[in-house]
Order: sequence, then structure tokens, then C-alpha cells
Amino acid sequence: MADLHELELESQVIVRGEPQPGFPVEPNTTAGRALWLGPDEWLVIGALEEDFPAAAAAVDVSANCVCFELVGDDVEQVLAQGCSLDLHPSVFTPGRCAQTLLAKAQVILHRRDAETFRILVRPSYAPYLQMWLEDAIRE
Amino acid sequence: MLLVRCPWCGERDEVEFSYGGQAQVAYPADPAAAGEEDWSQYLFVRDNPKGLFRERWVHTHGCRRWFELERDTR
Amino acid sequence: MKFTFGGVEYEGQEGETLAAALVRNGVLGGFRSLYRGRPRGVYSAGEEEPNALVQIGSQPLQRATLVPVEDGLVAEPLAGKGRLVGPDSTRYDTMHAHCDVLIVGAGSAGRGVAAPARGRVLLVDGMLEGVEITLGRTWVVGLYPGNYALAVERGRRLWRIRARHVVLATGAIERPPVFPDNDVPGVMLAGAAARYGDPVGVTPVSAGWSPRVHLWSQAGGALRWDDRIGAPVPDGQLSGVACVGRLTGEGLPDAPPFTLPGGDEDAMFVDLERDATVADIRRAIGAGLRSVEHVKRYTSIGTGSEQGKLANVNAIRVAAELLGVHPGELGTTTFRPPYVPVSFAVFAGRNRGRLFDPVRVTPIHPWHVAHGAVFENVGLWHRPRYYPRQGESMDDAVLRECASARGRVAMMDVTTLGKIDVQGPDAVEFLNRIYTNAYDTLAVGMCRYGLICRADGTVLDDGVVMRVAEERFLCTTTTGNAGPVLAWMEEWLQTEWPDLRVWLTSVTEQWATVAVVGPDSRAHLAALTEIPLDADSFPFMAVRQGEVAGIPARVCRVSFSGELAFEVNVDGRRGLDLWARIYAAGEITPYGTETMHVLRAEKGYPIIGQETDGTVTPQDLGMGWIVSTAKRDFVGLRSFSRSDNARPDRKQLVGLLPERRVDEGAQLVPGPGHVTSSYMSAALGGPFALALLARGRERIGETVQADGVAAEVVGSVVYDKEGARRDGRPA
Repeated sequence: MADLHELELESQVIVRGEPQPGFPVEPNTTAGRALWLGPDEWLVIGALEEDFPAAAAAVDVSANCVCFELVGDDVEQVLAQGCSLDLHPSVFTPGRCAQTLLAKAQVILHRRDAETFRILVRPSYAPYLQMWLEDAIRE
Repeated sequence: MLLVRCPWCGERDEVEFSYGGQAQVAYPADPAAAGEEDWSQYLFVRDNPKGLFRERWVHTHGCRRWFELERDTR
Repeated sequence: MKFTFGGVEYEGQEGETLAAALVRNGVLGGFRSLYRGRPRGVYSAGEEEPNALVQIGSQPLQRATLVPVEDGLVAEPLAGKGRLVGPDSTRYDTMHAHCDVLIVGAGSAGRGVAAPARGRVLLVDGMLEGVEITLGRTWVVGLYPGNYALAVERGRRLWRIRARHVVLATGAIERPPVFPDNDVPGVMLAGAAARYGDPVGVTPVSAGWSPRVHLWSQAGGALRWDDRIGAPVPDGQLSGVACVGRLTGEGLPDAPPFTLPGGDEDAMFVDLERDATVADIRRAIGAGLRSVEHVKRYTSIGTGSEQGKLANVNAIRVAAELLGVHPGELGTTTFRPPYVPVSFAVFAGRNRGRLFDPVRVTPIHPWHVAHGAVFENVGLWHRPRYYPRQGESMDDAVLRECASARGRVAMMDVTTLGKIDVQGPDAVEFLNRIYTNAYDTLAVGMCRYGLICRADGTVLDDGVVMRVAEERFLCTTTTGNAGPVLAWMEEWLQTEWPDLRVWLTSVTEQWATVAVVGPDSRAHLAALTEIPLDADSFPFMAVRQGEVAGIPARVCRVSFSGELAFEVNVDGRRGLDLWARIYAAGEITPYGTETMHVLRAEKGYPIIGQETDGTVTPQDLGMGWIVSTAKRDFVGLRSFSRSDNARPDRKQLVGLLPERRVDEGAQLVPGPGHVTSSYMSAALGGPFALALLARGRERIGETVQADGVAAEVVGSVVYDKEGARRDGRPA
């Protein structure tokens, strides 16, 4: 049975404009602590606005997303109950991320390894999503 | 459940997107100079073909980018 | 094992269906038809069964041919209609799957494709199960564009399948002949009779086989009539979908030639489930109907829960015979999902009860719960509506909360308002094009209320724009419009103005916001902060940074009540702390959305979605003052001069002083017009309302009827018209 726990992230920043050094440019991939959200948009975990003086915009969103970590050999079966993406490890490979719908919540999915997904969601949706995930894990 | 190809994210289920209607209907360059008829045309009138239609879509629950695609409305 | 049918106990065997068990026990009847009450019995061995419908506990309209016998099973015969019986404790859920090949049907043709197939293969069958079948007892009920298939496993799990290739190996259904009394118990499709061991008393019948073309047709595949087998078969090509085996017609026997026998046409059944006969088709054609779609609707053939699996092809053959045309000329009715009946509960899946919809809450929510707040839903948000004290009704609580807000100090959680960070060298230009008012002159550290219109001039949303830095703004939106306004802004930016150097980021939950409201709000906050709060240091609409209650904060002097007020914004993760510390700093009254509504309505402030409905312009609201006359263009400007927007009889925002409280939505006579908001006012000591009324501003002073209640038409601001309370008590 998969394990679900909340992971406290120290800080998060949305960076806009041209990719900063080390940023992923291929859609829906990650590099270091940066997640591709769009052709001119990245989410960087553990960074601050002032870390990106050359960026077109950098916005502190440390309180705007909470992070769940889902770990287990059945992690795909759990997520597949509410996610329409192809989660097969050959398709959603470790290191890839995706903005999508999980149940009725908009999330960022980030696969850390074969058995570990991080799920980023707005705090206001977190109680619902946690309830949904715990229910899906039990099935 | 249509499969829509976002130019950035690839193919996703249609629920991730919002529909933007007919493509290539530009906001008139000089609205003040537009007559009543032309302005109403811009606001309210769109094509509605049975067959191929060039449309705008936005990947609302994904990368949030707008793009165009051609869809057979049949 | 033992099972009960119609109150009688029978013996069952492992692996047999309820229908097989009944037949084996000699029960060849036991059912009645829907309209004519004719005795009926098991007719088939599959999902096409028109007669043997049973209720099993909370599950209505189950086909005995699909129900596996279990020890203790209790089944009641149904005459065509089931019963809704609760509670249903079945766990329904959903699963998504992706595969390279989806094979529908695990007969020999389907298994023949599955065995050598490579990649991810899903072999699905509605009746069979086994180790080589990926999803047994699973019906593919719909096949949609892009090879999207919906399937239902064991009546409780919905599968949403995206396949690169679909192979249909769905076989064919045996067709009954049409003759008088072809529906009596004992008459059974020959293949089914053989499956049941050719029991005594059974008359096996067959008029050929009809390929199960449903999914092929749903997916858009064409059909052609095959004279040899006497039924439609798949025709042509369909990208990504292939047909194999008897579905194509191959391997099926020649159909006997079709003739209508003599005899009572009213006893020649075409659709057994609907009790529809040859006589009904003859009546339809006699009434002038010529297409199968019309014949279907006139006779109801094919509209039962079995959806004409045994009936539709015969209906075409009978109609063709009566019209003297070739059946191929008539075509078929449209095949629509679901292929077999699916209960609504399956589509609901886990989305019920507490999981029906997300319930969005702010970080301060636990405090509201602990202090007895009564909540209301604002979109998906769960917001405190009022905080009743012991024994208080809502009206009591609201009057008390309003009195505190106007007389002393009160506080509200306004975290739910949308917030958008707008940055870049072209930020001012962008805001000027989106809002009706101008932002060039907004100084750093100041706020300005603004209105956003659609291109047709109607109001989309309102909010406050704060200039945080030279090229950085924070825009607020109404609670329900956070997403739509950001989407609106992005649409214009990306599709019309891609050259503008400005970036938009949603920060709605980055900030928690507490409004501190009332003539004593300054004094209350002064105890919590070093930020100078006096009117000279902190003018109306100014923004100041500092600490409040020891938490880094951004404070704005904005007011939605008309009272002196401060909105304190902190990092969302500190929201609960902030609220608790403000509450503990002295006597202060928490208030909810109901009081908020009353306070702003007394000041004539419209609420988007309440006083506006997508047809209302700024001028209708009496807000012409917010429309810039200096800007060359902004979204909506051109439409203000449309003839329709200049009509003198447009509905305008007014206030009403009714004799007693009126309902929101009440129609106004003489109108046209309606009540948009209605409250009891603590400040006025009585009821008042806001309304949209044709030529409203001209009609101030008149009396109208609001659903029979007399009301005086007044200006939209019923309290503090001069705005004197905005700066708090005079020094």
C-alpha cells in the first residue's frame, strides 16, 4: 500500500522570461530544483526572488503550493484513479513533471523515481486532495 | 473525450483545455474607427462550418498557452 | 449453492448464470412483459436478453443472463422496470488506462489477435473472464474519437482507456424470426438453447445473425447491408480501428430469406422488451413515416434497456418488407453509447459525499470552525457566513456584526479574493488596456479600485490594483473570478499583445488577508504594529509595509464597507497566527459574508455576479466615473458607444426601500427590473434592497411593486452618502 505524506518545502519561486542558467528547456521536465511549467515559466524549489535578478519576473509563491509525496510500488495504480496521463515509467520517466488534473484538483506532478511522485497543489485544495488520495490508496 | 495536442505538452484529454472559438479573428486595430455594423460583427459573429475549422484553444490545466488547431466539427 | 427467485428457492451450480440456473431448474417462464403483461421467459444467453430482467437488492434491471449465481442470491423478476432501493453500499470507482492495443471481445477471433500482440495489450470481454483476459466481465460501452473507450467492469468500475489501436472482435448476436406468438415462454434463440443444454420444453429459433457493429458505428465507421447474412456489417476504413472475426460477417451462416408470415401481426413481436410488434410498424408506415429513425420513435422499438439488440435489424427488415424496398436503402438508427445500461453511480465513482467536490478553505479555517461559524459556499470556497452567539438567528447575528463594524471594530477573513502579480516594463500599458481606468498616475505605495469589461462593454470583474514598485503591481479580483480574470488577462496578452513585456503570476494563496474594519480599527491595529496609522501618514488607498503582530505584512487602507478599514496581508502560512493575534488584541467582532454583503450594499457597491449578470455595463451601475476619457482604447471602450449601450431604457442600479424585506430576484412592476440584493439594515433600522430597473435613475422617488411589496425607488447609496465615515471618527 502506497505511503502518502506532506513534505514541507522551504521556499518556492515562479521565474518568468528567458530560461535562467541550468533551467530545463524541454517541456515538462525538471533540472536541479527547477520545474518547467511553460515556455517562459518555471517553478524553482528552495529559491528566493532575489536569486534571479536577470529574470523578467520572479515571484515568491512559497505559500501558494503545498507538496505531497506519494511512495510505493503501486503509485501508478493510485494516481490512475484520478489522472488521465500515461503514467507508465517508460512514458512519464523519472525527472519529468506535468501540470494536469488529479481528481478535481489542478496539480503539478513530479516523478522523482520509479516509485515516488511529488504532487504540488494549492493549499485550499489540499484537504480535499489528501482525502481523495487516502481513499485511492485504500482501494 | 477528445484528445487535443498542445504544442508544448503533447496530447492531453480535452478536459484540460478551454475552447476559444474561431481562430484569426483579430481585435480591430482602430476600434474607434469601426462602424456599428463592423464592430457588432467583431463582437458577435463567427463562422460555424460543418467540417474543418481553424480554432483557438488554451491549455487551462496545463501550461496555460494559447494555440491554434484545425478540427473537423463533424 | 442456493438462490431465491420470485420467492422460491432453487439450487445453483458454480459458474452458471442466473438464467442458466433457472432454465436448468425448469423455469422457462417466470417473467411478464412491460406493457401487455404477457408471460415471458429466458430468451437468450447474453446481454441482448429482453425478458429476464431482475432486481437484486439495490441493483435494478439486471439481466439474468449476465448475473452469476452466488449462494444466497435473491432475485425478483421485473416487468420491464426496476426499483430504486437504497442504501447501495457498492464501492464504485474509476481507473484510467493507456495501451497499444485494445481488443474488444475474447472469443476466438479476439484471442487470436491478443496472443501475438506486442506492447501493452488490453483484452476485454463482457461475459468471459480468465487469466488471459485482462479485463473480464467488462463491457466496453462506448468508443469515442481518438480511440477513447469507456468500459464498465463488473458493474462498478469505470475504465477510461486511451488506445493507440482498437481491434473489435465483438462477434454477432443471433436474431429471432418474426411469427405470431414468437415471445411465449419456451421460445429461445437456438444458440442459447444449445448453451443451456437443449432442455425439454424449449423451442429453439433462429433467423440468422447480426454482427455487433455498435462500437464500430459509434466511432464513426460506415455500415453496409449484407444480403447474405441479412444484417448490416462494417464497411470501409476507420483510422486506428480494425474489425475481425464474425463481426465482419465472415463465418456467419446465410440468413433464411425474410418473409412476413400470415397471422395476427399484433402478436408478431419485433421488440420484446418494448412489447412492439409488426402491427406497430405497419401503423407507423400507415401514418406516413418512412425512415427507421421515425419508425423507432413512433413504435419505441429499440428504446428499451436492451437497446434493440434483438429488435433493430428485424425492424429494418419488416419496414423494408412493408415499404417494398431493399433493407439496405433504409440504413440504420444511430448507435449511441452506452452499449449496455450503466448506472449513474458508476459515472459518479468516488465523486460523492465528502469527495463530491473540493471544499476550498483558507488557512484561517480551523479558527472559524472552532468559533462556531456558519458557512456558505462561494463557488468551491467554504466561507464563514456569520458567527452566531448562543441562541442567535442569522438575522440577529448579522445585525450585531454590522453594528460592530460601523460602531466599533470588526474583522473578516478575505483571503479568498484572487490576487495576480503583474510585472514588467509594460505593466502600466497592459493594465491601461485591461481596466477601464488609468494606472499611469498610480504612485508606488498606492491602490486604485478598477473595473474590467469585456469587449462588448459589459462588466467582467472589479478589484483593487496596488502599485508595489515602479514595474510591479498586485491586482485583486472577486473570489469566484480569480481563475477567469487571470485567464482573461493571459488571453489578451498571448493572443493580441504578445509584444508587451509583462508577466502575470497567480498569488491568490500566497497571501492571507484579514480586514480590520470600523471607527476603532486604527486604535485596535495600533496596538499590534509600529506602522504609523494616522490619516496623514496612512491616507485612504495607501499601502504600507512593516510588521503586524510580529509578522511581516503589507497593509492597505481599502474599504468595502465605507468604514475606516485596513486590510492586512501576510504570507499565507502565517494567516492563522495573524488572525488569532488580531482577535486577541482587544474586543473585536468577527464577521462573515452576510454582514459583508449588507455593509457594502448600504454603500451601493455592486457585487460582480449579484448586481451584474453579463449584460450590465459600468454606465448601468452608475459608474461612468471609472471610465477613463483620456485613454485611446481599452477593452470595452468602443462598445460604450454602441446604440444598444446608449438606449435610455436600459436597466440601471438603484436602491429600494420596501415596506418589508423582499426576495432577491423579485420582479419590479412597473418594470422591467428585478431585485439583485436584499437585506435588513442595522444602520437604517429596516429592510432595503438594490435593484436593476429600466430608466432607474430617472425614476427615483417613484413607488414600485416588488412581488407585491411596495418599495420606494431611491439612489443606490442608502447610507453615508457623503462618504464621511471612510476616515473614521473625526479627531
